[in-house]
Amino acid sequence: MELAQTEAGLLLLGLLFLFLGLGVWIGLGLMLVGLCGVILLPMLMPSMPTFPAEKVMGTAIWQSLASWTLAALPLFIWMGEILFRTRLSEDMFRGLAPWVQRLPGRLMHVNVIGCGIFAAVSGSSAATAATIGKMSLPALTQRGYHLPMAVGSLAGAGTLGLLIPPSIVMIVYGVAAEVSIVRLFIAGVLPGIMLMVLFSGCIMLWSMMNPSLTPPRDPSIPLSRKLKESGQLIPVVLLIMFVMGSIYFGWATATEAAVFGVVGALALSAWGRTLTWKSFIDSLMGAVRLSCMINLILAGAAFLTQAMAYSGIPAAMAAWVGAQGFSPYMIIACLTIIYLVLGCFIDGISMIVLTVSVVLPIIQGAGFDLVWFGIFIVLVVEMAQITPPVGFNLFVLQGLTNMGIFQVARYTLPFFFMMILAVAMVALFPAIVTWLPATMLSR
Amino acid sequence: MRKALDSLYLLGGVLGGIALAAIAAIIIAQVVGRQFGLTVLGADDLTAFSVAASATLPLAYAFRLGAHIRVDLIIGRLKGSSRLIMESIALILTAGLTLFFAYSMADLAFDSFQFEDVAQGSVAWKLWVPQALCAFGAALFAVCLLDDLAAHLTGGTPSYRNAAEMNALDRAGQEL
Repeated sequence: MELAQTEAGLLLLGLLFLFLGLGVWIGLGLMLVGLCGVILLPMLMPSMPTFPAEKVMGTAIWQSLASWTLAALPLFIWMGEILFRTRLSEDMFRGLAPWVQRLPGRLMHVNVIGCGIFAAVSGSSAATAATIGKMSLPALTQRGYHLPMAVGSLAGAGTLGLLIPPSIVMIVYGVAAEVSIVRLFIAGVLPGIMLMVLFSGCIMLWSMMNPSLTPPRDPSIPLSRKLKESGQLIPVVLLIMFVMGSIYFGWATATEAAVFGVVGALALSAWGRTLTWKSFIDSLMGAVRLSCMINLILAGAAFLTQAMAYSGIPAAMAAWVGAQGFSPYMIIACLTIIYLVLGCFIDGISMIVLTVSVVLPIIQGAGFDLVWFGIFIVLVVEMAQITPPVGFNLFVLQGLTNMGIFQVARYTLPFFFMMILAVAMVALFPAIVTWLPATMLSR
Repeated sequence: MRKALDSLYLLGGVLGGIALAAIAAIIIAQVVGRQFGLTVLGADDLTAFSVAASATLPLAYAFRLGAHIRVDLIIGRLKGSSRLIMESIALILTAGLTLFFAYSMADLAFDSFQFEDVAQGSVAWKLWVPQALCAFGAALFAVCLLDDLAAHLTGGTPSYRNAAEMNALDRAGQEL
């Protein structure tokens, strides 16, 4: 029997869904499909060269893991794990609350701004939503804020963790797509700020339409006390500025900046007297577990990519899409829908790793910039985090509030629409993404 | 036997932690060295090796604590014997795969040993040493999946299920 490349591609896709559906762990499922590809495809497609499976697997996985670029990933995860174990959550609420009292929507902006700041020190959106929500949700409900809006703004803003650098998802994309991580980090800044403005705008608009649902201001406190309360935040802000500044001004590579982040986070934790031998070991082992899980997925995907490259499937698929004469916007719209559907089954990182080898040739063929596509894909993955029935941020909020997942999702809906708006803006005005890296790195 | 296996998995986890800390230490040495005009020879390759070691050595340790993710949509909803069968299929498939994975990594390390492959950087590190570490991690992973397969087939609860019952958020809550 002889198979065409597109049919072989569909066969592998079917196998992948079968394995993942059976409950095979994602990284191992990818590896298993890769193994099927190396062993089965040459039998089905006589034109394809055969290779000894163990050699292909050993080399592909070794090359993907023994990578200097990949070092940024465990380090940034470690940095987040250290800060997660400090008192940052309380400091954030106390420090931000006095400044947002005058905005329509008042303390709800703490969710957005707090998530924005925490996102800059942590790469994960679940950690961001959990850290900020732990303090702000009880405080907001206690003061009588409208619960749906409080929950929704937290779930929505929590996704900023993916977009505002340093972001784990961006490192994964950068490694998988061989795009400069520094460039991705710089490109994420403007869209991240834009999204924060959209979220805050959404809260303001809502509270101006429903003035009765926002509780009155807290009694105002003198400026000196305001500054004192916010003083706790200064070290964190300095850490962010130092880590990101060292990347942006080209003093350090992403990996070196990650080490500065780890050292800074340890110093911060020592300064706040939360650094103990136990918390140090806990953060290290937490980082080991999380990065080990992500690396297994990357390793499985690297092997699968290698297996597919031999068969020529990605190139054939790209050629097929090219031959259909889709407009670039249509490709983007289709991909958005595919990612949102995929996001119901698998998490963001797996989604990116899984699709990059097939989607990138198509994207390049359609003339898109790979850095731009990286930011686009991160935005869409963010959306997937708050799309029911499976969205990681929804799970976090479910855990924090004991509400049903669909209820949380309904409350998050306005912020979901803001994200669609953001994706549309980024698609229509690619300069939002490309302008900053182009100006900063041209010097 | 149980104790010996558990301490073996933990050893993998601890070695992974050391490898992760080593990544940070190597890069700090590089950055500090640069201030004084010194270059740490072969540091980039050592970093890469540490990344590979930190990714493979703790595979079994992380697996037993439920850190590896899977699609729970179907298997999480099944009950009774269909659940048992599906869990068995998943475990048999992955146990077989990890055995092959361990064999591949060992084969790679053996090839490098035989042909005396060295790193391309400023120091010609022997490649078989870090590759053998990876093979050891992969072998631990295979042992751990066989272990859980045996536990499951003899009517016990696989380790990752025990861990999953205390989910990530509860753990985070406890830690705080």
